[in-house]
Amino acid sequence: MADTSILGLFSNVDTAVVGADKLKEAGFEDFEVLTGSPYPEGAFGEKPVKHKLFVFPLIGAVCGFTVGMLLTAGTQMAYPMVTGGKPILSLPPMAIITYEGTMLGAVLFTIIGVIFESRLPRPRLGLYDRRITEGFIGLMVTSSEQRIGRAEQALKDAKATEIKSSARAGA
Amino acid sequence: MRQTQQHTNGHNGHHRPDILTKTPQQVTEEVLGGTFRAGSRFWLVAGVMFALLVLGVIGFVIRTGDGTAERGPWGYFGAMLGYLLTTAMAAPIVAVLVRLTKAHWGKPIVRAAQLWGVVGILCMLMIIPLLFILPSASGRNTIWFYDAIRTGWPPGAPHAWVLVSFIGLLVLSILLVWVDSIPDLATARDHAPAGARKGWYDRLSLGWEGTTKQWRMHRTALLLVSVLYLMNFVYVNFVYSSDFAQSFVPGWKDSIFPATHTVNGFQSALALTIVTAFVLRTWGGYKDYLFTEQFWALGKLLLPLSVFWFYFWFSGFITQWYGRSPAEHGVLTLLYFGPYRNIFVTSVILNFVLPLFLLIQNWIRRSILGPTVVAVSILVGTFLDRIRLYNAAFSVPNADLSHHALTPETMPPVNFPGGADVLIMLGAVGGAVFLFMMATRFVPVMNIWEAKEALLLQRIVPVLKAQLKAIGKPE
Repeated sequence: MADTSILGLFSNVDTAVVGADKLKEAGFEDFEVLTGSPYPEGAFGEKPVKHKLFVFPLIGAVCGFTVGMLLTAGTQMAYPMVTGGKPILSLPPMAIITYEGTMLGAVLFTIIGVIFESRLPRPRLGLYDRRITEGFIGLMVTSSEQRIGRAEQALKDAKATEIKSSARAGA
Repeated sequence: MRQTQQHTNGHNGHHRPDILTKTPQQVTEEVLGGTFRAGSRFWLVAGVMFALLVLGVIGFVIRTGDGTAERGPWGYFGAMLGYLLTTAMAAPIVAVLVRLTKAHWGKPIVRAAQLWGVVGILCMLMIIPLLFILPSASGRNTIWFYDAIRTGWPPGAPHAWVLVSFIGLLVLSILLVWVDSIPDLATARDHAPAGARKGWYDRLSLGWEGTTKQWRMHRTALLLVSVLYLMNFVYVNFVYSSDFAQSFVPGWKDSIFPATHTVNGFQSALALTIVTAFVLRTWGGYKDYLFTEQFWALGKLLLPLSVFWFYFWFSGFITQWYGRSPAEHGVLTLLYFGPYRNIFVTSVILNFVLPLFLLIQNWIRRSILGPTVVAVSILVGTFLDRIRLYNAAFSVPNADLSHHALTPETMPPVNFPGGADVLIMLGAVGGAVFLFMMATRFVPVMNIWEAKEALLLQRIVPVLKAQLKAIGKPE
């Protein structure tokens, strides 16, 4: 059976925190908080977010660095001409291209990382309300149809301004 | 509003902190209102700037008539690109530093500083003709290698790598603005009237909903892109200053010059940000968002960077002055004591002397007008300094590039601006301002999400008889 999502909208932070507590009391630990500005982590008692974004620029930087080194070292080896009495493989001039290569690799992989880790772009907005960008707080729960009623009741108990469901939102 | 005014100057001259006192809804409405609608004064200024840009294009067309065989006629064009690099393209560095140091005072000026990055479009267009006048690395002292077999090393050097560095700067400057503004673009998406503008907000906000994970990703991505921008900015300054200035002057061996160029950029970045903040506060309708605190803090940073301006210049100068070899004598004459002496002295006064003597005074630093006056002085000084450096370098003929030193016989005279040069200078400044102004019509110039975050995290707290600002720092 397909899961259903509901979104409880709260006009202020204090009632939203109460709503989050009620959801946890009702057994819903894994809820989503939608806000118009960043809140300190754990402000609503939500689960910590884990991500691996830092890995992406690191991989990109290593790839870029490797390509830069191979490009510069390869061309020097292919045309082994001594310039200015310096060794064939001299690091100072290699550093210029390697630096840029490292950075370009890091940039490229950062873009990929941000898009991948944020699961963006989304062609269609999910359960959402434009009042979130006006200061409202949204608490979203996704669960089976049997359990979703308890989540809805928890949000009602916390005096949510409005509760939207994915079925109604899609209608 | 009343509270804000009360806090600007406390009794007995004690500083009282200011904080934003609005609701999130008011912030959204005011900032988006300023983005969607512009007054007649805005369009009048934008029209003038566009006209200047058109004049600049005419100047460029006239200049192309001189061909690209000699660099001399392109001196002012090269200087203007150098100027844009050290001002408009440096401005996002202020945003980067604010982010990296988690300086909460800087949040209201971050977006404006980043938006100057759109001038990267103009820089990208300007570097293309300059690539045609950039000679091969053969026969001049460059950061690139050249010999009979390798016609430029690494492959494509110097042209391809100069181009790559500018492409990198453009991509990162746009990326920095975009990543930072995704939440605000989503806010604009939710409030813009139906139409093409809303469609663009829809596409560019990528379906942003403001989930906890998205905010976490956003913060991390912003830090990463900021660091990469800083790295690339240093690289572009290094390549441009060494390839388009130093390598054109025989005997100019100054390992600190690219670093000087970059540090000049940091100083000008602060200056441009201060002037931008002043304009936004005075005429842009953001009086309730920008306080003395921002100008005071930027002024404090401007003081050491103005001292650095002198220190970096002096470090390069003193080596050549003590060296006294014919080559070094020639460089000193060309850059400081010869044809460009007056312009050099003026830039020392505007970039160092005036900022130092004004900013060491507390009452000037702790004001809105004081740092702004100093910032204008620095922007004019940097303009003259770039004119001096790049004109002097560009005026050395190709035939003299392979010489070991400039002699009194080969010393180029001062390159006074012709009509086309004046048009190019007006066009570059006008074009940069025009691009910035157009960018503010689409991307909110005030950071909405950070203003709202400030509402959550900042309070005025009474401590005995004093009023202090308490900031909750999540990290």
